Amino acid sequence: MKNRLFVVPALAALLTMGCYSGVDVQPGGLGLPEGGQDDDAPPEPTGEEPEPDAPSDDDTDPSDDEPETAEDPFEVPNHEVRLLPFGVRMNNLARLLDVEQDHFVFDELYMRRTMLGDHDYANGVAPDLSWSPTKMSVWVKGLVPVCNSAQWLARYPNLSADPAPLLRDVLARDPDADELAAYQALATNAERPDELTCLAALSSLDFVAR
Amino acid sequence: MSRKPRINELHPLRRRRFMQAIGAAVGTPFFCGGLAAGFRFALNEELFGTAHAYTQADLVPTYLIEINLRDQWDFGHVFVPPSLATAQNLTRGEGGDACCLYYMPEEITDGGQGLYLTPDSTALMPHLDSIAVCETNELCIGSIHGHEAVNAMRSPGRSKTQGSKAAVWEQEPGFGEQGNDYFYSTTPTPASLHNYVQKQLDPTLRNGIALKYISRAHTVCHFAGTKPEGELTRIQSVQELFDTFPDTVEDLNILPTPQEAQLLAEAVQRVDSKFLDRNGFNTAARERHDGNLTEATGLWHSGDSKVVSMPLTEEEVAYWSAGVPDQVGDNLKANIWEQVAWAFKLISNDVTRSVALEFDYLDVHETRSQSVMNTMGLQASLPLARLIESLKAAGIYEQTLIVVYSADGGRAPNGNSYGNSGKNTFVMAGRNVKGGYYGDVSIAGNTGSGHTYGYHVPNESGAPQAPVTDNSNRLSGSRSWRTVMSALEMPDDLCDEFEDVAGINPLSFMLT
Repeated sequence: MKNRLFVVPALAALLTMGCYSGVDVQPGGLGLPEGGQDDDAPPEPTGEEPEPDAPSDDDTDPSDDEPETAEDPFEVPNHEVRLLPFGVRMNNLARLLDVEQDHFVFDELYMRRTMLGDHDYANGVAPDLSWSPTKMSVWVKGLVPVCNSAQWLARYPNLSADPAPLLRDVLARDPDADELAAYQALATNAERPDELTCLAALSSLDFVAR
Repeated sequence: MSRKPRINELHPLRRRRFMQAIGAAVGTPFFCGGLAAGFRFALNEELFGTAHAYTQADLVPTYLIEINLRDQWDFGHVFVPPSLATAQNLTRGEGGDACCLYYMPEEITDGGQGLYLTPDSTALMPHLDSIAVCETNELCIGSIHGHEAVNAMRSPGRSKTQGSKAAVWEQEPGFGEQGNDYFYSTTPTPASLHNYVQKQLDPTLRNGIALKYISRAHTVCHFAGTKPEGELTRIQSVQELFDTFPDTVEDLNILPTPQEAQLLAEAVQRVDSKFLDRNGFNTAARERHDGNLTEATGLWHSGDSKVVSMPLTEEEVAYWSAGVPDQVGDNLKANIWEQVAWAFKLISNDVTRSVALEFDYLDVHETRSQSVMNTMGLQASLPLARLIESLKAAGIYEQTLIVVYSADGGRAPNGNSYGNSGKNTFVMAGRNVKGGYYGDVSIAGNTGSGHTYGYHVPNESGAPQAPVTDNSNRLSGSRSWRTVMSALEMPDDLCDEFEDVAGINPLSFMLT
């Protein structure tokens, strides 16, 4: 009982000191260090940048009030390519063609959705976002009807002569010279350049990976 | 001083075609008849390097079927340890410290070489000369009474501390910690390393597979480590298996010509290189991606006209399923007899050479009844016997190794064993295997309600040593790993690349 007399005020103090800070957005963005303002409301921006080395008027170490440099807050995996979730890939594909996601042109892809990394928890199939040779193979197979569909041909006519519109949609920016050269090599050497250009663009990491 | 193989000078996308061409050329009657083996060996060495020269010159494929049984499988009704098989006045029962061996000595058959079979496992009798069993191996260490998804026998040196090791779980779909645990290692698991080697031998092979058919969230990790080309294709459902190995020629050739497949790969590789640059992917990621693209090129146009129909016919179902109890679990995926039948189809048609199976019997605690032991006995022995019989009939048993693991540890003989004490089993059958039960489990004492048990590790000649009654003094997982690799005639210099198995001797008494 005696201990509780100490514990309760200590807990109250900790809570009011803002130890539980959640994900409140502090000046400078998310993830700022502990020890900032206790108030719920962030300080009003003054429009002036604080002097980083300005002497403090209190007796604490100035560095205590500075945001710590976020050194590797978490490691972004860079040792293996990971796919976008299947649903995201299909959504992006539907937006390219300007059709609904359940359009029949995607039937081949949906038929093999779990092979393409989608989940089916009811049957014990977990998502699998590795970009494996099998998935590359099944993905290209599923894209063949897409690349030959009326919707695709209407959206991207004469693709091999001018892949830039498609690449802008895939990359969300203008393609650079190297990228254009890669597709021009296809146009030069392939017997069916339009279909191969479509397959290449929609199988590139820019389109399928995150 | 070793020389860098010339094959490495080729771009990965060109390497496949070149190796196909040179393989075809060296394989022609003109070359076989006209060139001495020494010259072919030298040619191989120049092109492919020393390690590859061994296998190229051998020109004999090997097959590996790795069967992983969870949850803490007990082979007690399949191979009865000699001392228990012959023990008189054994206290039998399903709980406590009573022994859950439900057959009397007169019902147990002595197959020789320490192999004692029960009525559940007598189907194995004709094949015992090539079946080796060792159960006194390093135990599993998962945090939930030993459950883990690796096993020291499959990846020696696996550890929960990362250090310089790599995560083993990253390729497993939906991996979760519970009952699996996060481990790091450097040693590839058997089917992954075998897949790597066989694909070096024959680049036209389909990638090896892992059938992820455990009924629970539990899984088995397959790990290729520094040999990412060995990563197995994970297959999570039966339909995925059928789609992965289609039964129409059209599905084998998605693009009409190899030239188109090559052009597509080159274009994708070129633009993907920039993606990898922009996003800071490391060299390993690049190499893996290039390797995957190379392999996909062969899948976009394989040139194959031979198809293998994976769905089982009525006759096949009747043969493989007879008397085998169904899978017992949470979310039933595929029976063990089906998995074994599919593995046989793939292996016997030389579609792929490395197949890993995953199967389970729902985790049983506190008591193990006769029904449990009968079911596990029949599920383990009947498919194994039929697989051996079929491989023999197909004429490839001598080229095949079957290795069966109690993948997350075995059990002690007592009914209430949880799986983190007593035994951890591996069984080998086939290529280079010398039949026998090596080691022993005995009665160390009587308690009134049951027994204490003694575990006898085999010595270097395979004879059982003095027993221990605790979990100490088991064989290191590195010994069984090297034994499997020796049976497969994997090059020693390749095995020595991995720090936790380098220089380790196999259990030679299990090998011919």
